[in-house]
Amino acid sequence: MLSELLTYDRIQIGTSLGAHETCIDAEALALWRSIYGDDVGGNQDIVPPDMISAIVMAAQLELTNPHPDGGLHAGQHYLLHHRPRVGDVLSTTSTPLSKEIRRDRRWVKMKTETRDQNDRLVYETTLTLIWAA
Amino acid sequence: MPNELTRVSLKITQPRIDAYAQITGDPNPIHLDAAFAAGTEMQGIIAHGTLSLNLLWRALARTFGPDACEGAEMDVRFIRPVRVDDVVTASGHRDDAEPDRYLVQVTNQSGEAVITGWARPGN
Repeated sequence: MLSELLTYDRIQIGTSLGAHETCIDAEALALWRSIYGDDVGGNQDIVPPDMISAIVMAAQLELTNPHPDGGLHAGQHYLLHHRPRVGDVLSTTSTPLSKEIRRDRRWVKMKTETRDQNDRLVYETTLTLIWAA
Repeated sequence: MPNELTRVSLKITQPRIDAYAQITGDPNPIHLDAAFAAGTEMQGIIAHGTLSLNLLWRALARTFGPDACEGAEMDVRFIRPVRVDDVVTASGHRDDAEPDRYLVQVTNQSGEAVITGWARPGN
């Protein structure tokens, strides 16, 4: 968690916001199935592919916390390299790529990378966000 | 590659939004607090955008199998909010200009696109 509110002005391009670790366990998978009905994952030992955005968003929210309320997601780009296994420790980093003000909106792009406990790259994303303040 | 992705639908309910908030750790009251959300420019609760986006990954997995998601790439824009009791459907068709990928969208029950973009299955 950051020590100060992460306003648009405080976002530093190219400076990593740090890393967030998570582990998808049986409890998380049960919650996932309660939303979508099943997990389309095939092999039950492997994290369902559609969990990628939830894993990334959880990390992004934590790494930018606290941030101004009212922000919006405008777009996302994903590369899914590998499907992690249930129980893997996933570490996600987030780094601001760019920011600009257009038509009174504060646009921010952030790059995230998620690696497993063996440092294998599993996901890469670019998030396009409208920062609230 | 088939011309169409297998369509996947989901009814967006408040319990599903609540569970998604729990998984993502997203306490944003725009998703959870009707009184707060009513006072925002959205004028009511909206679902997390990625709650609907995930249906596109599911459409890929259902079409090609989950292993084909390894190496997959997706690029989307969120263009319209999704509200409680909306029924959203993910679909996609081959991109004539780039046949190794699909033009994808998530639409609501009125046929309005809420997410658009493209997706390329993995190997």
